[in-house]
Amino acid sequence: MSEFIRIENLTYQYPEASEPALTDVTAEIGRGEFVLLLGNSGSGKSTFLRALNGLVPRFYGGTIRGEVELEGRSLSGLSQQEIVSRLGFLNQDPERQLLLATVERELVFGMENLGNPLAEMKSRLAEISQLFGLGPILQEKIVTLSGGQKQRVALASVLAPFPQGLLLDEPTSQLDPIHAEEVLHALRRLNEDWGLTVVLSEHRVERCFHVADRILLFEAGRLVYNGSRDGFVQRAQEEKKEWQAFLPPVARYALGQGWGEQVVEGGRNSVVARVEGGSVATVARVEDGSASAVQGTTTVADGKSHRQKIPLTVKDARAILRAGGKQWSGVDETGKTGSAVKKESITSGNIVVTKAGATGEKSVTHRLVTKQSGADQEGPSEAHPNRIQPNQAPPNQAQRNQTQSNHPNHNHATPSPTGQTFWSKLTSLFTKNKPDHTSQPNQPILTITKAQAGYDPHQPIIRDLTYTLHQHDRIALFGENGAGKSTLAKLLAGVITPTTGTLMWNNEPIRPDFWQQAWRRIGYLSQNPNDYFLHDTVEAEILFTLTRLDVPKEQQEIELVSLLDTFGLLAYRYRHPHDLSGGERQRLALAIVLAGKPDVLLLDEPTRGLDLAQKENLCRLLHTLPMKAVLMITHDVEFAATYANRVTVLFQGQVVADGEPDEVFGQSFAYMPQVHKVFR
Amino acid sequence: MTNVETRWQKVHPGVVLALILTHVITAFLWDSPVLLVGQLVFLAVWLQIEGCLRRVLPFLGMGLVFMGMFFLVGPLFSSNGVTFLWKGPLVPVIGRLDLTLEEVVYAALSNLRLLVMLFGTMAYQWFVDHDRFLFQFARIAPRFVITSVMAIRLFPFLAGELQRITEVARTRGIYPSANPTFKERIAYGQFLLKPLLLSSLEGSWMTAESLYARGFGSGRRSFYRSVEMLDHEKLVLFVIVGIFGLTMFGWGLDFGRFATYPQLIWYDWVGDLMFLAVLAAVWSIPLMWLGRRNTD
Repeated sequence: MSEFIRIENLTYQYPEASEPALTDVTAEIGRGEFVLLLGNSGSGKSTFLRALNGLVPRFYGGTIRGEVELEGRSLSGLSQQEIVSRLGFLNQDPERQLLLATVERELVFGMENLGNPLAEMKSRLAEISQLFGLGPILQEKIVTLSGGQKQRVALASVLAPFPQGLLLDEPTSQLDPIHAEEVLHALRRLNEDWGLTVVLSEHRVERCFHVADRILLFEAGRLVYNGSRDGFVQRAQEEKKEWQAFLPPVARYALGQGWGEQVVEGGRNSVVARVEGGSVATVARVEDGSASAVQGTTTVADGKSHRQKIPLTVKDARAILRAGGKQWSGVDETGKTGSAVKKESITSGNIVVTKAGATGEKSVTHRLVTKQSGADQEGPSEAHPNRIQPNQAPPNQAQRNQTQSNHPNHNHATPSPTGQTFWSKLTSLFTKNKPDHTSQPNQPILTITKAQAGYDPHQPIIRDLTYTLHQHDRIALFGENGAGKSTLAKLLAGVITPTTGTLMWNNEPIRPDFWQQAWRRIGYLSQNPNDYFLHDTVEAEILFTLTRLDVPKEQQEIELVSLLDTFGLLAYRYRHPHDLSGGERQRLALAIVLAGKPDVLLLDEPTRGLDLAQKENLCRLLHTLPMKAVLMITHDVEFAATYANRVTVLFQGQVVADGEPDEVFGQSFAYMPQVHKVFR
Repeated sequence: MTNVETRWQKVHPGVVLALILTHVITAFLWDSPVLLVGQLVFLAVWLQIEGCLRRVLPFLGMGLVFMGMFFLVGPLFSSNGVTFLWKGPLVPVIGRLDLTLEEVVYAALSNLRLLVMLFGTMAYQWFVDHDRFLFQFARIAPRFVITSVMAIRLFPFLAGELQRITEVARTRGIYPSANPTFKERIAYGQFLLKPLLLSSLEGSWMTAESLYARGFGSGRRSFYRSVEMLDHEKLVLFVIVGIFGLTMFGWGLDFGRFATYPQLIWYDWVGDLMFLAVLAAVWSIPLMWLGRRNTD
């Protein structure tokens, strides 16, 4: 594979930054490679992408050291036009990168900038609009398109000049699963069929990890891994356990469960071993050898080298399950042949592996039920029953029922640094002067009946909707872009008024004066935490709300410290909110909302742009909050699977699915976590 | 705001821009309240005919806040004019706080100009095809066009951001009372201004980055669609230049002359009225001409 981009000892520091965003990065990207950039938020992925096309330092300024070469020529010696004609760049926000009024103008804009002749523009426009199915909407106004369409147009317009490489910075972070799939599918096709070099930064790796030829992992601005996908999995499996956070959910699950396959090297036929609980249980020969992704190396008793196969896709995982269910001639742990795995059945979340061996038939039930381990007992923040840990399976119904009794309102506490428990601190804040009117589980708290709402009375977004938030609900609200999710949240928060229908609070109709003080009952966290920052210090933001609650001065200090401590912001008390990182800003916004001590919390895409560690922190935090009900809008099915005890799907302003996560996920093609798909 | 579609967007952007600019520039030529009010009414009628006037109202609200501040601060802290309405205390550095009739009238005239500019900006937003405008000037002044595009995009972007920020503020119980006092309005506006400013800066930065990454201004451009000016548009442009010439001629004859300091002197308000009637007639010519042709 010939070299396309070469980066040598690259160090870059943004203007006025105290530390470099990239430090001594050396890598090379081959022509036609699919490169996946991994790393936590702020690790340097976005800066790296911008260094490849010269945006840093040309656009951003700052100081740079080292060399970036594109097709053997130094980037500093290339003109902007020469770089742009070879490398397309797409960021995560289509709203901000679509600049013109109509789709057609947007598609030709890049070609015009490069001075392409008219005939070439016409032919490429035709090609690209056919490839992306944009023909029927060429004359449409950009503002009338859905979020998914906008991102597709943005991608098509970047590709219209036929660049040889494409740099993408979280291109699917704002898209629903179906539209995200569309974009990634298009990328895969372009990479495979056109030979387009793709460099992609992405947090949701379940759809793209398995297609990556190369992985670049960044940590604090340094490139800590540069190599093949299989090599990455192997190292994550064997020595760098913390890297497992960057594997697709199904791989993490498989690693956690200790099931996979071991393929013996050196034989003509692949020999597969089922690994249970981390040790080799059975080694068997696979007859069809259909499995594709194979990583890891280990040695079993026969002295031969074995590679443990970890599934990277749902198909891989199913193949492993199927392989276990075949009639296969195999070898046992000692490498002797003779044992045979008879059967593997999957029933309602349990895998039953029946092994026939010399010692007689024995069944091993591989339960897809979370065991309440000692760690679980420490508190909901560590391992909530609804949460799929790497070593857990999707919870079943019985377990979800158990979550009712495990709800933070009932028990559990996480010790806090100040000695007082996390839970008791928050509970004490929330329960003061506020009698609990809805102590019974499943009691309706907030209900809308036959509601119609939107911004244009003639074109309602919410249509004839009846929906109830109950006590202890932790709802994940799904729906495609434009389905009405945010409108529903705003309706419930009282931001917009229904044109028809009624709203009830604790089974009593809501009167207009309710909304004047609704912020004390209903907390709403929008997608953009910056909207909440009205003051110059973190402290002032919280005190503003506490003052409006008429909390006495001496009590304000106690509550302020408690909230900041709870959200890990005490050290930033006197900082400006905009000096905080993305995750910290979001925690501050949540703290501001919670300072109002609401009963119901509405969250609009709280995981957008968060890395896995940040999502885990958020999940832990949300589990500990003493809300009566939480409704969370999200596109992140994996996060929802770890958090929600109820899932609702909205389509064109109406609820089309609502129920227990198992029930909804089981019926949904679009909204099903990867691990659930394996056992479908 | 960008999804507003008007027939004027089909007209060559240079012609529409010339028309709007004529109004904005001439508003700074004269001081006569008659001509300024007349100009404002003319622009309002134009916007109303195109169904856009009601869309101005939310921005008018914001503009009124600034105008109110100017109205308050300007006359209070300046020391011009002879017709005292109020004499206040002597303040170190600033001098005497006072209020004269001349200062009040001067502030009122300035606010009228501000309104003309606001209406002109709205007309520019809705009547100019920004893409065509962009293409027209990208060849000769790419940097200027980048700045313009950002400014153009900033406006509708601000409107969307303001709506979201207002909604978020509402969920925190921050909203004006049913009958807010001026002080309350200012305090409420301040609450919204800070997040609005920061998010709009962030948005503009991303837009500029996108323009750069797509090679805008990187060299000679080609054009997918022609943006040539049609014959009748050229003729109208000629008429607009004529109107501007007529305005300058009238101004040279002292039409629209009005002195605020040191004392109010309205030299010839009847003459101003007659001149306004003439101007209104000639201002209408390009509108009727271009409007009819595009309607046809």
